[in-house]
This record gives sequence, structure tokens and C-alpha cells, in this order.
Amino acid sequence: MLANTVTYLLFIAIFSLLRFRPKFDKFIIAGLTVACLWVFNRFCLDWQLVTESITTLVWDSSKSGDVKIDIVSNRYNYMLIFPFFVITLLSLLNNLLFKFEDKKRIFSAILILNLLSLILLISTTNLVGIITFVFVIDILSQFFINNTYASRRYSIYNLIADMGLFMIMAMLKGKLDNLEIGNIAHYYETGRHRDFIMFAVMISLFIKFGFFLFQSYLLDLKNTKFHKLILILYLSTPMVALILVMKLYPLLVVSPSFDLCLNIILALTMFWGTIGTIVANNLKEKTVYLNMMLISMVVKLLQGVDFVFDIHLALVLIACFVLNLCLYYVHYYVGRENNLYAVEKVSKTGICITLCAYIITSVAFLSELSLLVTDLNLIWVDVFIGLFIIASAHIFSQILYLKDKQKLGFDFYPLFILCICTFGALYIIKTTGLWWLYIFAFVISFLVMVKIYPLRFVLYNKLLNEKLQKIDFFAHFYDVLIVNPIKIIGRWLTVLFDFMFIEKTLTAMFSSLNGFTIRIFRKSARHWAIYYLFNVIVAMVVVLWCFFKGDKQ
Amino acid sequence: MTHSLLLVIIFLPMLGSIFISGAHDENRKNSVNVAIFTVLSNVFLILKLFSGIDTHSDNMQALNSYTWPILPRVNVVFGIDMPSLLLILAVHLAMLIGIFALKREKSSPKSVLFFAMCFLSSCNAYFSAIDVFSFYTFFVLMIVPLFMQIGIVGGEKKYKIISRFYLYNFIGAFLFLAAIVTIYAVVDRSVEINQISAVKLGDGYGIWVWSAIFLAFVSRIPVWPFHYWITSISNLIKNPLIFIQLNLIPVAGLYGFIRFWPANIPSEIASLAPVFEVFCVVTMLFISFSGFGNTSVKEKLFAYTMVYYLLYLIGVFLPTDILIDNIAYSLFAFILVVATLTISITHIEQESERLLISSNGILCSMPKASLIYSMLILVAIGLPVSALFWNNFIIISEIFNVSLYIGTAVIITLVLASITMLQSLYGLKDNTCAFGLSDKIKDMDTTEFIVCIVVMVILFLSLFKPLWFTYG
Amino acid sequence: MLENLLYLLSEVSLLITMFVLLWQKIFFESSIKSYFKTTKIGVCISVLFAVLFYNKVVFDTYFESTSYTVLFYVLSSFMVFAWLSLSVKWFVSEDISSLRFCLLSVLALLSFNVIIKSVNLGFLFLGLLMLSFVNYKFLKFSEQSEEFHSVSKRYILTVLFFAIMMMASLLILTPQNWEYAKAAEFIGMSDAKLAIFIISGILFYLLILWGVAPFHFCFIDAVAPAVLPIATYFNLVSVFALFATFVKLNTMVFVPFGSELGLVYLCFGIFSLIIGAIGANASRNLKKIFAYSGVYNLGMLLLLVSPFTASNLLGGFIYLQVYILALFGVYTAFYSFKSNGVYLSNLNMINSIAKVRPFISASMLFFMLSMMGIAPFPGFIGQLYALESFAESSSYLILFVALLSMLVLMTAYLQIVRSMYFNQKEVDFNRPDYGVYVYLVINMLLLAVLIFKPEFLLYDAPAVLNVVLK
Repeated sequence: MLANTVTYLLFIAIFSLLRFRPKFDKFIIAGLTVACLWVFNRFCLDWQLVTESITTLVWDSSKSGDVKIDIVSNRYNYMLIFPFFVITLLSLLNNLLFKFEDKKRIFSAILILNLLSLILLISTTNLVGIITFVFVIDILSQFFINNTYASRRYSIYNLIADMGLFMIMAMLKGKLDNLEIGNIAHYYETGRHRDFIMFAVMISLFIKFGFFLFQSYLLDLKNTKFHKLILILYLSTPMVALILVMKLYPLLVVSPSFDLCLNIILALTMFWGTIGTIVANNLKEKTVYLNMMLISMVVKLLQGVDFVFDIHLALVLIACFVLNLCLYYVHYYVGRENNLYAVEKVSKTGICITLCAYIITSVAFLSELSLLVTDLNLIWVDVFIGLFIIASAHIFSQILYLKDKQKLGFDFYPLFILCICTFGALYIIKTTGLWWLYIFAFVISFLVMVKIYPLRFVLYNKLLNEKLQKIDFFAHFYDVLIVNPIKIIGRWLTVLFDFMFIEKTLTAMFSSLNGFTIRIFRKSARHWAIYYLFNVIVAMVVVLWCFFKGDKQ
Repeated sequence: MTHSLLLVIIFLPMLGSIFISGAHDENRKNSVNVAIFTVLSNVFLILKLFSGIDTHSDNMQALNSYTWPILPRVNVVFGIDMPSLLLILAVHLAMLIGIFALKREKSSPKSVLFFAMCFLSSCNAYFSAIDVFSFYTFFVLMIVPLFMQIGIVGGEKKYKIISRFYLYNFIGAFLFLAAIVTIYAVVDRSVEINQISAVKLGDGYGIWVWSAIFLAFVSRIPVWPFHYWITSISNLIKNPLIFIQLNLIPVAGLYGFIRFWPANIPSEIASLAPVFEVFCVVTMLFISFSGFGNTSVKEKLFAYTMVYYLLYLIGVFLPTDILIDNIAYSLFAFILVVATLTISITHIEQESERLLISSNGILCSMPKASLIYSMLILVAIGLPVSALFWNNFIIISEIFNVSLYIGTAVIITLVLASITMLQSLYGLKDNTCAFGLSDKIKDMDTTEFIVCIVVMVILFLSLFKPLWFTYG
Repeated sequence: MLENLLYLLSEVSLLITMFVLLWQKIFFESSIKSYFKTTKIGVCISVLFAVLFYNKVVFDTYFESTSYTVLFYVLSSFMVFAWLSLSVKWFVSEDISSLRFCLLSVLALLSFNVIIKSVNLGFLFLGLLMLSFVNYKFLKFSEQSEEFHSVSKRYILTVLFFAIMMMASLLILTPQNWEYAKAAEFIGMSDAKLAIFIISGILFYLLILWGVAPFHFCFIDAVAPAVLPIATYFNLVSVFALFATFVKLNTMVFVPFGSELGLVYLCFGIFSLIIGAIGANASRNLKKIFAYSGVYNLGMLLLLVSPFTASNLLGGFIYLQVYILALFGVYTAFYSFKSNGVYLSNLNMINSIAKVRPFISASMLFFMLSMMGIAPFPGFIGQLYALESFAESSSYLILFVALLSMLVLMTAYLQIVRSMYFNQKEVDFNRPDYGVYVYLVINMLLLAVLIFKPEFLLYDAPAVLNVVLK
């Protein structure tokens, strides 16, 4: 039962949030990791035996309907949760073995809470429940970002996306008068503004995926720690988008232009991701760009199967994460230097082992990918494989370029995790027959990257390279097109309406009118005789007029 | 029991104000304590009253009526239902937060507390008023103490402020007076709000009377072109308690609409609702744009506040009354958030003024304030941390049900307002603006911190059940 | 004979009081306070006899004594009593002999008695003339003011001009038609032009003493330089008596031209509202501000009572009571606005007084809020009566003007609030007399009673007021 998993994880998370003496932290984290492994074991066992069941918690009820948190246990949900569980476990192991975190226990707790939210997001069928867990995951991801600038950009982008989703959910609630996600399929029959709905959902999801035009907030995460960066990429926003795209698929297909829009943006993302991976010197940026490629491919694969998740997709996701993990270890073995051209110390052994693991995982990844090929995405997969191999080979060539640097001590910690991952990858490779082809492709690409002069000139020419790094189209794109105009309009409106119209016209008019009447009054009363006479005449005129009028009546 | 309890709740702050006026203290410690005690006592009484009423009923309860011998047409009736009592509770908690913040505010004389208590009393009476006369009376009365407070500690530009305050509020008040006088002239008896739609005002008069009432309420809400007075005043007010009260003024207008709209409004006016909604949306866009372009943290907070008030107003204008509970729940959380944000911002501004430094990055040296401010922003932007989330969801869903365009515009303004708040948060937390005076910057004091934490707990509990403090 | 003397005891006691005052002056070296004491005792005795023989009158062709006349006489006496009690503080402070003042007060009350009770235009004229003389004599107390000579000259000339106008009207009427009923008959039978002349002659003289716009100029001129007790007198003391007379004249003499006069009062009322509101804003002198505020209130009163129905009369009466009580409260507070022994009358002189005299400032605020008509302060009741009557008669234009001018008038009140509470202190204030506190408390209590238990103060008022309509 999924509810059990949720309960266990909740207890573990609460326990890890309790305050203990710091000296016990290591044991507690180890205990937590073991406990999670135990829960994972239970989870896998349940997966084999599960039958459809729902656990429902009524969160709030009102005249407008009940908000429920459903924990739906079925094979599909287990399958969907599986990759995230694995990724979380790998991250917990990482946290256990590495010393990057000051508050490891809290970090583990957040990881577990994040997993918990992902599980609930996957299993809930209530619209409010879905949007709630989307928000919760966004809040939790804030704990992974320790840089103000990156955090601000990340928050704002996600807020826009979340509010878009919030709007869609509210619209659905209004139109369908129901909060169950199962009913959104009926929107096609009853709803209006289908294109609007599709665009709103799509834009929100594209932002969350970090696709072309919306990737800059993920690129800003280069300012945060590497392991947190890949956690955000594989346990937070883009993965939330992946889950949502599956859940909200019935809404997306209400518009006939969905496929076209999606294909365009996926193609652009894949292309831009490849370019970015090749051009970027910053390893974290490179990772983000690589993930643009990877995730766009995953989405394309999903599109091929009508957004129905598959175990191969789960493995693909895990493989993607491991690829990221490899890059993280590369970063670790180059003395945590982000800029590959500014590296001073290198652990050659570590780099070599990591790159081997990368190659094995890549082969496994591509093998799994090939299993998901359909007629609709055949060309896409082929192109992607080509781009991926080229991009990976380029990363290799760049890393091997560092061979002349100072020596850095080899650290065994990553080996443990790499071994686990490699074994998993080898197991996958074993089941497919094309592995030799991919290795061959890798070698060829590598040679091409290193040897072709024009490309080398472009990539390793210092001046040109620096210029390329500075070209940041998207950082200023929104500032120029949206943010600055809004600010200017806001100020203009304030000046024009508040200051000029209301303050200087309306309020000033009242004030002037008052002042004017007072001046007139004072002037008229200055000469007493005239004033007296005037008043008496007025009185006389009034009396005469009234009597005359009275006579008429 | 519940009947007399309501009267006690209404008049207890007034009694407190008398004690405050008699308190002899140089450093205002006694008067602050009296105020805290008074408000806390009233909070307990409100909770007690909650247990005595049926929160699911739409009818007014705990009725008290008093026929005024000098004005036989006037039958003053007080009563409450769940939304009104919840608003009373919210106002009390907001004031309590403000009073705690006032402990630090050395420049505030005790007269501010005196008038604050008067304001609270009139707020209670206003939210409990059932008949048109008392509704008008307390609608007007509640601005008098605020006027006095602004005048007393309004700063350098207070004369400009108070003249604006006076102009807009009293124009509204007189319009309301003209309307009720006309109603009395027609019916020749006391009229309760829920009977007002039955009043036949004759050809031509109806539209004028309702327009007057409408404008009276609108004068309290920042709908264009009435928004400027409140904007300009709030920009110049530095005292947290007064700022909180000023932010409660739109609640009065909003509550007026809640009581009158839609069930008690004649059809010819109700048919104009879309026009009013468009006005609200335009103002929302206007204010959110201005807030976005502003650099001051307080102005950003103010823009955010006004955008939310207008959201509620649009909710009220919708042709349904099932939203009233949701609006009340959401307003409850909203008022608390704004009050707590106000005291945090006041603290930040005071520190930056004291040390003559920019407020950018100041939160890096204030861990407690930083924590509170961050949490509050999460609540404020409508994340699922308080009752704001689910109830706003319902309100927005109803808006979308009526019009896609208005709904979309509302979402855009909410996003802008939320981004505005996030900008302010990140500006204050920007560690690139570190200054050498970080050890001299004082963090939020423990009492304020505890108060803020308590508020956060209340808000969080309201996420699960808005009336968590009641049985059943 | 003895019986007639008994019925005249109310008036006789006032005369005796005057003799006693003179006797005190001649035979004793009496103090300031003792004159006041004697006067107050005299006033009390006069009221006692008026109430005791409330329906008895000696010269019934010239005077009448009904519950209506007694009510207004009692109210006027009450005002005189309260005014004397306040004024003593000024005299003690300035150390000026109070004999002349007390004599004039008694004479003023006597003239009130005459004009209220009179049913003969000749006696009404005499009463008003006496009142004019008293007013002029009162102005003499402001001798130290630079404007005194010009103001008193203007005052007496203007008043005499209107007195002559009234006399001319009376001569046209001929003495045998001076009785109210006969005068009404005569006016009814005259052609319009003659009627206009007669009515204008009588009415204008009354209105000039009352201070309704556009006849406010004399009243305002007199109040501005006047010392505090005299300003109080002009603003408050004569109002009840003149109101009673005005109502009587309109219900007994001007009846044939009721509709035309209704229109006149409407115009005068609106004038008063506008001039009162703007004038108050244009002034920096506290007494002048409240004098203009008085003009505004009289305008409202005129608009309210002018249909002369029972409900309007009751409304007007309540309005008047509340307004007088509130204004009296304001004047009481003025007695505490002192710096270096000098009574303050300029707006900027009372800056920040709230910081040192919080109770007085709060009570002043209370009275002003009441006069602004802000609910639930007592002034609101009167305002509601007035506005309701406009709405009932579908006079929405008047309603609009009334509210607009109220808004403008409030600006003037807010100037005072601003000075008291918001401005920076400019002078040091003297410690006020404790009596001022006592009067303020009594005043507020009376207003509170009027709000919550009005039956105590308005006991049988509707029936009493109806007497004049019969």
C-alpha cells in the first residue's frame, strides 16, 4: 500500500527534523538512509503485489466542494514513483558519503519530504491536491538554493508557472464544478477557450521543464552547489512538470495545435541544449544544457506513447540522473572548479573512472531509449542520439584537455555510488544488443571533437570562447520585453494618473475651490458698508422674488 | 449569554481606551499593557462567542436591539454571523500585532493607543451592525479615531495626508447619509440590511440611492479613482499600528459590499456588476504595475494589499453568495499576514533609518526577521500555507466561471503582486549588499518574534480548517 | 390686583433683582461674585414663578402664558444662568466690576420674557428694542478691542435702521391691528406689496438680532471683537427666545403668506448654510468660527422648522437643544484657553493644547464632533431630523446643499482639531478653573442623556410645542 510508504517516509522525515547532538548526526543520517532503503524494499515488494486501492483524507470541505488528498495505490503509480525513489536514495547516499552539507540531517529530511510530496503529487487525483503539492515541492526546492539571485529567479519563474497552473485548476473547478482530475477529460465536451487552456498549461509546463526560452532560471542555478543543482533538475521542478504533463494530458489535447507547439519547442530545446552543452565552459551550465536535451527527449518519448509512463522511461530517468551524477563527480575531481578553463588541480584517476561510468551509463541510457522508439519519434531519437554523443564527446574532450594540470588526491567516496550505478547500467546493457554501436559512435565523435581543426579553433580559442560565454540572450530577454516595460508603465501610470490627474487635478481642484470661495468671501466682507448693503439688498430681492413667485403660483 | 457577550465585545475596547487615557506612565508601558490586556480579553470573548453560535448558519445570531427613543424610526440592532465574527477576530489579532510592535515605537504617544482602542470598538460595532442606521454610524465613526492618529503621528506631511483622508472619507460618509435619509423618508421605519431590497424607492430614486451607497463603500476601497488617498497616506505612515488600521479601512468598504451584495441589491444595480468588475480589474492592473515599479518595500506591500482587496471585491460582485464564507476565511488570513508583514517591514525600515543604511540585504543580519519575513511572503503570495490558498482558489474559480478575461487579468495582477513581494524579499535578503554594520543591526526582539511565530501557527492551522478554534 | 401681581411675579422678581443689585452697589462693597450670585438667585426665582403660574397672565390682550412660552422662557433662563456661571470666571480673572453686566443680563432676560410672551406686535417691538439696547450695551464690555468703536457704531446704526423699518410696518398696521390675530387678518387682506413691506419690517428686525444670513453681518461683527462672556451671549443666550418668537410670528401672524415665506426661509436657510460654512473656513478667530458655525446651524434650523408642522417643530427643537448644548460646551472649553492670564481666541494660539489639557481637548473634540453631526454623537440626531425632513419633502437640492456645506464647515472644525492636537505648541497655557471641568462634565452628561434617555429632557415636548400650532 502506497499509504504505508507515505506514512513511513513521513515518520522518517519528522524524525530527521528532530534536534540531536551534532555528534550523532552521522549515525542518524546513516540510520535514515538505511530506513529509507528498507522502505524502498517494502515499496518494491508492494509493487509486485499491489491491487488498486485508494486512501482518502478529507483536508477541507466547503460549499464549493471537498478538498481531498487521495493516495491511490496501483501499479502505474508505483512505476511512476520508482525512479524518484531511486534518485532520492542515491542522493541520500551521496549526502551520507560527502561532506558538502553543513546541515546534513536537515538536508536528508528535505530530500525525504520532497520525495513524499512527489509521491503525493503522483498519487492524488484532486485538482487542489495536485496544485498544493506542486507548490510544496517548489517551497522545498528553495532549501536547495543557497544563492539569493538564483533563488529569486527560480522563485519568480516557478511562481509564474504555478500561478498558470493554479489558474487552470481554478478554471476547471469553475467550469466542471468538480475537483477530480478524472473529470478533466470532459472539458473537451463542455469547456470553451480550448486553445487558451492548452497554451496556459503548456507555457506553465515549459517554464517548469526549463525548455527553450525558459531555461535561464535553471542556468542561474550555476551559483548553487552542484549536487543541489542536479537534485532540483531530477527531483523538483522539471520532474513536477513531467508528472503534470502526464496528468493534464487530456487538457492539452483539447487543442489541435498542441502537437505542433510541443514539437517545435522540443526541437528548439534539444538544439539549444546541444549548443549550450558544447559552448558553455561552466560545468554546471553545461549540465543544465545537457539536461535540456535529455528532458526534451524524455518528453518526446512520452509523447510517442500518449503520455503514458513506462518502466523503460523510469530507467531512462534514472540513467539521466546518473549521467548528471557523473558530471558532478567530474566537478568533484577537478577541485570543484566550475569553469573548465580555470581548473588548477585534477584527480586523473577519478576523472577516468567517472568518465568510464559516464560512458557505460550513456550506453545503457541509449539502449533503453532505443526500446522506446516508435514510428512517430524515430527520427527524433536518431537525431537525439547523434546530438547526445557529440555533446558527450565534446565534454570528454574538454575534460581531457585538463590532463596537464596539477594533481589532486583521489577520493574513493564517489566510487561506491558509481559502482552501484555502473552495475545497474551494465545490467541494462546486457539486455540490449546495440551497446557496441554506441561505444563506437562515442569513440568516433571524440576523435572528431579533438582533431577537427575548425571546431577546435572555435571552442578552444580563448578570445572567441570568452565572447561566446558572455552571450546570454535570455537573461535580458524578459527584462527588455516584459519587466522593464511593466516598470516603466507602472511609473508612468503613477505619475500620470495619481500625481497629475488625481493629486494635481481632483484634489487640487477641491483645495483651490475652497481657497477661491474663502478669498471671495474675505474680499466681499472687506468694506463693511458695501457688505451690509449687499446683504440687505439680497434679502430684499429674495423676499420680492419669493412673493412674486408665490403670487404666480 | 451570547447576546450580552456581543455587546461586551463591542464596548470593551472603549472601556480599555478610558483606562489608557487615565494611565500615568512616561514610557507608555502601562498603556501598552492595558491595550494588550483589553484586546486579549476580547479575543477570548470572541472565541467564547464562536462556541455559542452556529457557524454554518446564514442567519445573524446573538441579536441585540435597542429602539432609540429620540429617533423612533431607528432600531439599533447588533448581531453576528460567522463571517462577521471572523472579521472581528482578525481585526483584533491584527491590532494586537500592531500593539506589540508599538512597544518598540518610542515616538507614539498614548493617545495613539487610546484612539486605536476607539477604532477597534467602532470596528466591532460596524461588523455587528444589522440595521442601516448603525451600519452608517459605525461606518463613519471608525474613521474618526484613525484621522486623529494620523494627525498626531503623521510625520512632516500630515496636513496633506489628513486633508485627503478627510475629503475622500467624508464625501463617502455623506453620500451614505444621503442614501439612508432617503430610505428613512420612504419607509418611515427602521430598516435592516437584509430587508433593504424590499424598500420601494420609487422611479428614479433607487438608482441614486444605490449609487450613493455604492460610492460610499467604494470610497473606502482603492478602486480607481478613489485609490489615491489611501495610497498616498500609507506611503507616509510609519507607525505600524496606524498602518495596520489604515489597511483595515478597505475591509470596511468590502464588508459593506458583502452585506449588501448581491442578495440585497435591486436588479438594475446588480446588472451593472460587470462594469464594476472591469473597474476593479483596471485598478488591480494599475496598482500591481505601480507596485512592481516601486522600490520601497512598504509601497510594494501596500500595492499587494490593495490588489488582494480588489480580488475580494470582485468576488463579492459575482452573482453568487456562496463565496462569502470563502472571502471571510481568506480575509482572516490576509489581515493577519498583512499585519505581521507590516511590523516586520517597520522594524526593517527603522533599523535602516537608524543606521542610515539601505534596507537591501539587511535581512542577512537579522536571522529572526528574515525567517519571519520569508515565511510570511510564502503565505502572502498564496502558497498552500494558510487559508488564503484554498479560499482564493474558490474565489478565482468563480471569477473564471463568469468571465475568462476578468479571471485572466486577475491572475496576471496576482502574479505581479506576488512577484512584487518576492522582489522585496530578495532585495532585503540580497547578500551582495552586505555592509560593515551588520553587528550593529538589531534583530527582531523576542516578543515580536514569538508573536509572529504564533501568527504563523494560526495561519498554518487555518490551512486545514479555517475555524480550527471551534468545535465541530 | 394681588392676584395679578402674583402672576407678574416672574417679571417682578427680575426687576427686584435689578434693584437688589443696585442696592448692593450703593450700600455694600460687594464682590464680583456676589453680584453674580444675586443675579442667579433672581433668575431662579423668576423661573420658579414662571413655572408656578405657567398658564396665568395679567394683560391677556398683550401677552400670553402657555406651556410653550414657559418652556422657552425656562430654557432661556437656564441659558442665562449657565452663562452667568461661566462669565463669573472671566470677570474674576479680569477683575472688572460685574454690576453692569449683571444688570444687563437681567434686562436681557426680561426682554426675552417680553418677546416670548408677547401676542402684540407693539410689545414685541418694545421687547426687541430693549434687547437691541442690551446687546449694544453688552458690546461696551469689549472697549479694549481696537475694533470696538466702529463695531458698536455699526451695530447700533444697523439695528436702529431695522427697528425703524419695523416701526414703519407697525404704523402701517395701525395700533388696533398690533394684536397677532388681528395683524394676521390685516396682512391676509392686504395686497401683496403692502404685506411684503409689513412682513419684511417685522421679520428683518427679528432676523438681524437672531443672525440668520443674509442678516448675519451684525451678529458676526459683534462676536469677533467681543470678550468671551459677550461672545457667548450673542452666540447662545438669545437663541431660544428668538426662536420661540420666530415660530410664534410664523404660526400666528404670517400665516396668510406661509407658502411665500416658506420659500424665503428656504433661500435664507441655504444662504446661512453656505455663508456659515465658508465664513467659518475663512476665519482664524475661534469666536468668529463658531459664530459662523452658529449661522450655519440657524440656517439648518430655519430649513427644518419652516414648514411649521408638529414633527418639524419637534425636530427643530431637538436640533436647537443639541446645538446649543454642544456650542455651550465649546464656549466652556474656551474659558480654559488661557495663557499669561489672557483668554486665547486665535486658532494658532491653542496649538497643541491637547498635550497639556487632554480632558478639555477631548471634550472640545466631543462637542465639535457633535456639531459636525457625526453619528452617534448627539448632533447627529438633529442633523438626521433635518435631512430626513428634506428627503421627505423631496427637497434633494437642499439635502445636497446641506451636506456639501456641512463638508465645508467640517474643514473649519478640523482646523481647530488640527491646532489642538496636531500642531506644535506655541504658548504656555494657564491652569484652568476646576469649575470649567465641572461644567464640561455636566454638559457632556446632558448630551449623553439626550442621546440615551431623551425623555428626561424632552418630557412632553411634542405636546408643548403643539400649543403654538393650535
